[in-house]
Amino acid sequence: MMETQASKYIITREDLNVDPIALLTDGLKIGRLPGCELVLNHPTVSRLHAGINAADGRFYVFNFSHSSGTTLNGRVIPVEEAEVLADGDALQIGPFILHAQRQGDALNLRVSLQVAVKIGEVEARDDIHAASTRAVEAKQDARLMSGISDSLSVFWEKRKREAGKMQRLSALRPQAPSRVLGKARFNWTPTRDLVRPWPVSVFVWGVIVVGLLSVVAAVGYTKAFSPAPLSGAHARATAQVAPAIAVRPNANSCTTCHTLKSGMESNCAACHQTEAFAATITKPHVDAGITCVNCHAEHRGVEFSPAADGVQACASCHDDANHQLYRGKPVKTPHGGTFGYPVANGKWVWAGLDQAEWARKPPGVREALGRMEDAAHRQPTAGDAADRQRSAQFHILHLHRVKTVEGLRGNKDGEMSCSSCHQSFAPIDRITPRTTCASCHNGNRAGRFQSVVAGDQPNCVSCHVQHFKDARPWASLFLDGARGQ
Amino acid sequence: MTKQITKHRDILRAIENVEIISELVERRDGHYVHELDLEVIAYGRNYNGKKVGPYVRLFEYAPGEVLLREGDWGGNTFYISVAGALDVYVKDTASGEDRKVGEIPPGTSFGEMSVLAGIPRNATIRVPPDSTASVLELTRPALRLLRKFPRFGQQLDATYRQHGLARALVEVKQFTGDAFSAELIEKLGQAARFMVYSRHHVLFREGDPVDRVVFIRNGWVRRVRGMGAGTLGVEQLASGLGEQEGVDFLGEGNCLGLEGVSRDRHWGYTATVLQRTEALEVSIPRLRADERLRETLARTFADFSLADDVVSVSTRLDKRVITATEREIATGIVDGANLLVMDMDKCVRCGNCSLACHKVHGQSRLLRRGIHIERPLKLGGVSTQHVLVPSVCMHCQDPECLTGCPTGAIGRFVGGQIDIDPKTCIGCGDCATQCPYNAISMIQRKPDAPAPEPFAARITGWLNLAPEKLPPPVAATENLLAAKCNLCAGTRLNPPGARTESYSCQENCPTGALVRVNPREYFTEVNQRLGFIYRDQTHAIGRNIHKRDTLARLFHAFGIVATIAVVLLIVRGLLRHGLDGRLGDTWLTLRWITGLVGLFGVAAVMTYPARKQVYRRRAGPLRYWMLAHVYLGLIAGVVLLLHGGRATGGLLTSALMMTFDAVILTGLFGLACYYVCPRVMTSIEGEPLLVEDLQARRAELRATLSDIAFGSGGSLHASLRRKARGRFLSVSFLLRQYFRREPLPELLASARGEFEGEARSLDAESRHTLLEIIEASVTLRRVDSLIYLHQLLKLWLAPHVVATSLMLVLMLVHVIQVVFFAVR
Repeated sequence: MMETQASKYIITREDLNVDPIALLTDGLKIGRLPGCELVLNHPTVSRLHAGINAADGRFYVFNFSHSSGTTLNGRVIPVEEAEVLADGDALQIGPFILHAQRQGDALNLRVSLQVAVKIGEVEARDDIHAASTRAVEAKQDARLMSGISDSLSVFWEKRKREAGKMQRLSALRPQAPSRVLGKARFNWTPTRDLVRPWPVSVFVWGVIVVGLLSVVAAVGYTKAFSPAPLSGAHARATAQVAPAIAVRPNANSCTTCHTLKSGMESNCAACHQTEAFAATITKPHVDAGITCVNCHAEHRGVEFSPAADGVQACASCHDDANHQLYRGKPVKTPHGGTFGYPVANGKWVWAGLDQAEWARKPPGVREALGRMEDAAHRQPTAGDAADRQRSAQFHILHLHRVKTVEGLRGNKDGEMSCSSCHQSFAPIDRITPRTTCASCHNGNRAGRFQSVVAGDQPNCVSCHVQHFKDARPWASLFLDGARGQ
Repeated sequence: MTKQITKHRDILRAIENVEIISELVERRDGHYVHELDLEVIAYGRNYNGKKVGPYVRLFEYAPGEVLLREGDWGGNTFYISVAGALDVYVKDTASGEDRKVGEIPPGTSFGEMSVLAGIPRNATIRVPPDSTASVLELTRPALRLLRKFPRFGQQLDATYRQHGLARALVEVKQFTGDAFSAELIEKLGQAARFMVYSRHHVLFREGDPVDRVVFIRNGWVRRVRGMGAGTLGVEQLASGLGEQEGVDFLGEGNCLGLEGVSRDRHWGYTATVLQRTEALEVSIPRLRADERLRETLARTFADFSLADDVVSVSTRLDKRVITATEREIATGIVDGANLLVMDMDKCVRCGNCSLACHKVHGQSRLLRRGIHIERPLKLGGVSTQHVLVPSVCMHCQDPECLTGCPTGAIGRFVGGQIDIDPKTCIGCGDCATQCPYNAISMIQRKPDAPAPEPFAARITGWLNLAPEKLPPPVAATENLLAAKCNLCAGTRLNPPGARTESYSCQENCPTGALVRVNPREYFTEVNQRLGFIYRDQTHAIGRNIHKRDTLARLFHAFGIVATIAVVLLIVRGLLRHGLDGRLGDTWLTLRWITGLVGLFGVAAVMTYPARKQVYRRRAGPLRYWMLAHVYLGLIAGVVLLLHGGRATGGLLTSALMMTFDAVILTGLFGLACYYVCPRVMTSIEGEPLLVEDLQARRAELRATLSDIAFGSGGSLHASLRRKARGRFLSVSFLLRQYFRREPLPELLASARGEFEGEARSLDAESRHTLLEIIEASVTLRRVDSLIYLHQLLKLWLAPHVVATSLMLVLMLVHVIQVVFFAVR
């Protein structure tokens, strides 16, 4: 154990014009503050810059200055560390040089001010120091030429772990050492980086829970898989429509329709095959591959009516915008898009039938067209040839063929006649017919998506029956003996 | 054909024949004087079953054989020729062909430069075509024992300096475009001395006469004007420098003292050596003796040197630059050959780098705390970059860890990396204690082999919701082995023949925060201080992705464009065809298209977690996978949201949509966290720490507070604590940490200011307690705020992963249902 002892210091100030002083103290403080035993007044000297004390007969010099440093024979003394002061050593503190000399037990410190620091002053003193400079040069040169044999000691001396010390530890670091110091400190320790923040089981459990729930729902709660509720008709456990249109009620079952064995349409037809309902559809639809679910889609909610949906479905394909070909033929907007009066601003807007369509009409009708065209040619007021052609077609298709409905006059057979629409003929009444069309044709299409509105009114299927029994896809309205029924 | 001679008698005779090491076999009274040293060097010695040595091997080389090749790394061995001369060849820079520059006579040592200075071999040594040579090969630790012998020590020193001087002269001649004629170079060689200085050496002081020209060959010098020579503190910079004061740094290739060549001058600054520095010094009287040499040297050296006689006034410089440069040089990181840096503004503290290291090497060699540097991102720029140099080997040019190794197990290996040969390492731990950066740790030599897990245990392990267990620390003190970063050499990450190097930590950083660099290029402020002739000498390590990452930019650009394009395309299609309208002649509807695109998108997104499991081989940098994950997730997310349309569908599809929304929202939240949290953290944490450090600190501070309250102080202390607690442990004070982001000292000062009135009314002891309480509670809140940020960075992950797992299963069920019901 080292004991510091009071020692004698003799301080000679060569920089100041004062006499040497002798001090007896147990520690010599050196700094800029007046409280120091050795006051060195210069801005580069710290308030408490260094200290010297004696222990076991040796003098130690401590460096306390963080900012400016103390050098012993040209080597910086690390902060708060001590070096032994030997006879003849030179300490440098700022611009001051302290020459240490032992005088028995006492330490003699000779303080001199080094050549001035400021460059301007240096120039001014050049001439004074010229002589001494030459001497220094010669000495330096000799030193350089001598070849210093211990330059390699740089590689061997135990270098201090200074990089670590450089780090000023933040106040947020744990103050207690994490492991006992000494060699065990370098034994490997894990950090939390080496494990996942969340166990992988979180993922596994998610998969398991949802997987189990899905399986359970597949057996016990099939509704979960349904994109939307079934229609009321398919959901009920009892048949409510009389006469029945299905063999048995569905009672919300998935597997009546979705089976592995057969397709959806055959499952529909298997059930909807009663006296009151025929599952047959027209040949063009069969040929084009249109099946039940194309018109009567399910899973549209409880209130949803498959029948009403079927009506609306017509216009989704029969549309000029639908460029898809069915067996090579396009499906156009029916009736050229007009369901009302065919003439607007004196021009025919009804497109008329083309030759192919006309050729499929019964022979009687085709002959009547010829007569009608002749008559139309004699009309002085009629427009161009195409208009006359359309006019003739239009009248032939209606006159003496189509049964009238309630509220329309007709001939004695109850078929449409001229007076069904025209109230007077000289001049011809072109006003009333504008209102009569809608008596039959009011399945108008409207709205952004061009769906048929008023499904309960006469519409596509009022005339063009889909599910027929007697091979004639026309409404009974148009057929013989239908009137009054 | 190289022949190793193993007969001990021959080896001893060879040693005896070489004058410089013949002291080793000196005999007195029939005994070897240095018996112990000789045993270790020539025979090897057993210490408790651990073999140390032998350090020497004798080889006989056939005519024309090459012993050393210029440019090779091989800093573990040096040689002494015993018999037969050897030829020295140096590659000519102009023709690229080897040119014979000299001969090595028998009895000379060579190759020690590479061992001592940590540089590649600087010449090719070849046996002449018409003779054989016998050569002693000595390993590094032999040097430690042999240098004690005066003859060898002096000889080694002289050779080192002679070779150093020769090499420096060759460089000067080359780099100055042959401004020096051969004659002048010879004269320079006679006038100059090669010096090696250690850290802290003061070269000269301000005001001393300029007596020599100092050409810095290697290392760093700090120049200070108007201040003392000591260590420059951060405080001093903070308080500002006056007009008369200045600081700067000079690296290799600079020349000091040119101003004093023609006329007598005094040094305008004090120069201190910051790292081990090699210098060429020419005394001015000698220089003046030869007019032509003086003139040529003054002219050419001034061309490439930055040094002038006035140190720039630092007040005009960015103070961050000075502090950063000082730290970079003084900590020595600038002399790392391959430095790992982390940009903490990008680091999301996921720890995947450590984990990657752990997966590759068995024990992680990367600890995410270390030297922290704040530097301007661009010189003259406003934004500050927070760089962390974590505790991992930087493969120093002058490694301190090598010095004390008794067996030579640690050394520089083929690729220039410092590595440890486990076969020769005896686990003494000297390197671990010597490393200034704590980059070497001791592990168990043979870790207990984990018992093969039974199948049932593995299954229950997958279901166990308890947090994962940390691997056990190394508690043993016997039978250890030193482990450190070896740049993933010899792993599948760097298969033989690979054109670029790849490092598991860098490959597996998800944000590109971590990168291995050449510090001299990375730290521009340091690069700026090199003399021009050394500035563009590069050790190519990899792209500096912190400066520019072109591939990441491409990913961003492509991702943004693709997202917008896909969304626009689909929205346009929706307006035209609706979700279920068929497209043309096909069965495709937009519902199908969005569904299928989304499905493939999700599949692609899920490749990221799959990629994350790959650590041990190359699979593309994770940061690009991350970018792909984000953008593909974004695209798939939007497309699948459109896929649903306005209808929610049944329970299954509603649940699917909800989990899907949850995945996207948690993902976006995580992205926001990844962007914001690190930037908030770097502005308040000061030094990046691990979350466990912060938690340990929190426990400490809580203990301090409760000690004060329930200690001897009685009710007064308890009430003080309550008051401070009410003020500083509030939510608003927590939020202040995030929004005001003051540095901790500033925050503490303002907190003390709030309680100033209170403090004045107390006696001295209680006042001290009050200050202690304030300090502890404010620091506690700062620690809390950082812990919350750390947790936030991980918190979002659990919901994201759980929602993903739910979504994947629901999606699978949905896809099965669609295939089963709709496609039929």
